[in-house]
Amino acid sequence: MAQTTQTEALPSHEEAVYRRPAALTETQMRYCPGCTHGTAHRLIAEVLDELELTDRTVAIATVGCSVYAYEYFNTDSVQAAHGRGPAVATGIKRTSPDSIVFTYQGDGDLAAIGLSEVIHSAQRGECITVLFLNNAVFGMTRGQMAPTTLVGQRTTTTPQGRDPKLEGTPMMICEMLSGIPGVAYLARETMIDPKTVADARRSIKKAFQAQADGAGFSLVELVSSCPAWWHKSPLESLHWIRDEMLTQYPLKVFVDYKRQD
Amino acid sequence: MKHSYRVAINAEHCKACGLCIEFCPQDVLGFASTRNDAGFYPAEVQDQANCIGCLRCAMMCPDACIEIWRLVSADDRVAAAESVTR
Amino acid sequence: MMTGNVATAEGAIAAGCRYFFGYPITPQNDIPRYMSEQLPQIGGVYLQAESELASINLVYGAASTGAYVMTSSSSPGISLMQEGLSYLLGAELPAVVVNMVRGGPGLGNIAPAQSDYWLSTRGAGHGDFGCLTFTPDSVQELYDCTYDAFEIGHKYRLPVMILGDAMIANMSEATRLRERREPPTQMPEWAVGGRRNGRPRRVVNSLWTDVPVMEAVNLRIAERFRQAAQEQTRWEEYGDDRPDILFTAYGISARICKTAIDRLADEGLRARLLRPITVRPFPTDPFARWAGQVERIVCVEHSMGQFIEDVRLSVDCRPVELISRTGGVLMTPEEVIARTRELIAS
Repeated sequence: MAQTTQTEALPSHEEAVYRRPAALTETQMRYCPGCTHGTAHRLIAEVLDELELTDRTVAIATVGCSVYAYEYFNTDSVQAAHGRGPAVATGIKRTSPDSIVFTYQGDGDLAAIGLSEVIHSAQRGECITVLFLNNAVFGMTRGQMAPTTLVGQRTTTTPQGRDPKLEGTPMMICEMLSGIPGVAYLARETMIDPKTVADARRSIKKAFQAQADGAGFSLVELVSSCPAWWHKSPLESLHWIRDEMLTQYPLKVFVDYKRQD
Repeated sequence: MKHSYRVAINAEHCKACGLCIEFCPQDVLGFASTRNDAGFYPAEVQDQANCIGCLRCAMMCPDACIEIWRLVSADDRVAAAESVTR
Repeated sequence: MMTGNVATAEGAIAAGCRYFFGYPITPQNDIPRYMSEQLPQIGGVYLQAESELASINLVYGAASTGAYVMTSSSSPGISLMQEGLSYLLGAELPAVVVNMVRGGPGLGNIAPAQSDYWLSTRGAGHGDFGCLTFTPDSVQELYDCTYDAFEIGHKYRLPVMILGDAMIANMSEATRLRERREPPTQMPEWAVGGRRNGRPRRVVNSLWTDVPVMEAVNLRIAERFRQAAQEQTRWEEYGDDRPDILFTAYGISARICKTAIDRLADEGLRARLLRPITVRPFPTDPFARWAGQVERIVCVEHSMGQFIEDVRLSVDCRPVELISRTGGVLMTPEEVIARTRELIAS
């Protein structure tokens, strides 16, 4: 057979099964060991590459541990003031509608100081994508209570545990946004094992696809870990997400513009 | 057809969180005995032959340190070519 | 005939501005009204923000794409924009911000005032902050300054503030319009929007934890201010060529002074007005020139004595006297004349 003769001439070689995504720069990320910020970055980058959006994308880095995200995404990037990511993203999207614009925000940035901007962006049905990292704590500023801190959770500013009588109850961002007509895709995911990582990747992909389709506002909440301020090992942190965080923050696709209801 | 794989870990970017080691179902990975420049004992490949290419380590790595290749031998290519021909 | 607010908006459109983000506040509401009507008709975007915090950050986002973009507000709203203004400067992004000043502090009132002089020239944000600041005194000048502000802002990569007040914002005057320009088609080399055609990625950023780098950025910005001072400083002089009194005032106060100077001339008193049209950069040269040639220097302003500080820094230690009202109270030319006579008598 002619084919056999041909292949025999070829030496053994390697085929890449998994490569670091091109939408990440070569810069080492500055997150603590085991922090799922890095996992989230990697998934976003994989999705941008897969959807061939990397060269159209503007990433918005906000304030918090992920402030240096502009060094990690191999895209045009803008660093925004604390909480104002969705407003900055809107300004870019309105002047450069062909661009794919996403914000990457922690729970302090999005749920505390920036709550107004994210809600109004959703209300306008702004064609931007928000990646919301919820690890129930302010990481960069040394572990203070966040709006998403669990009841009873000890932080550096709730040393006796969050008391709902004093500090209220955890803020449920997805539930708050789920009734807004401008929202095209809305999901809560986590990254505690290969299956949930794959699920998170799928939701991130759908969120960017929603933007590319011009369907409206999209947000994926990623229930994340903070080994440093939870005072747990990386693996224990993933277990704590499974056992405690997901009880408060159930995983769910809240809105999917492609789903037939 | 059983494939063999090569797992490459960027030892300088690895922060030794150990998640790849925890989630590897084949005990391919372990911690190195020497430190990297940042002072971590990074993950390393300790039993390459056992790897089944499931990608779980790469999926769990928070630092995008892991890349995986499949080794394609000439025999495989013959088999692949023949399967196409048939 | 058009109001100062409309002239400001029309000046921006004529300059090629197609993006406006703002939040309602009196006394500048005619600017967003006009923009919301006009911009969609010419391929632009008007978007009402949920707050001034959002407004200035919408501006920041739009500015990062290299677009001609503006917002307008009044004193309390500008206070809310301070952080965003500082980010604009730090990230070296140009944008035009209009402040139609009202009485303050606090909620104050909606009467004309000049009490945001320090806010605009000194403290419109944290850090080694400043923005180029125009102080027009007429509807025509509001139009012209706003028209020029976009190109100037882009030339020096600095935020530009148009410092008006409730009076010139809402009075009507005949205004000569210039040719409407199309928005720039060539985006600057720092503008983001996706690294199309494989160009290197661009980052808009004001975070520099490596302190010598932060210092270098500040020095680079300062150098642009220095250049702008050489090339963009504007002022007007009015009145007697051999004056005994040099009045200095900007904006609405300058108009009042002009009338006062004319009447004083009728009474045989020789007076001249030195009116900065830019207060950052401040026209220090003409002040230095006149300071030694007059008997007194009188600063007229509608604030507690803010503008007078820059005047004092520019007159080679000569005494400067203050005539001012505050809280939104507007002086008449008669009041300026009467208080000038008191100064002379004392």
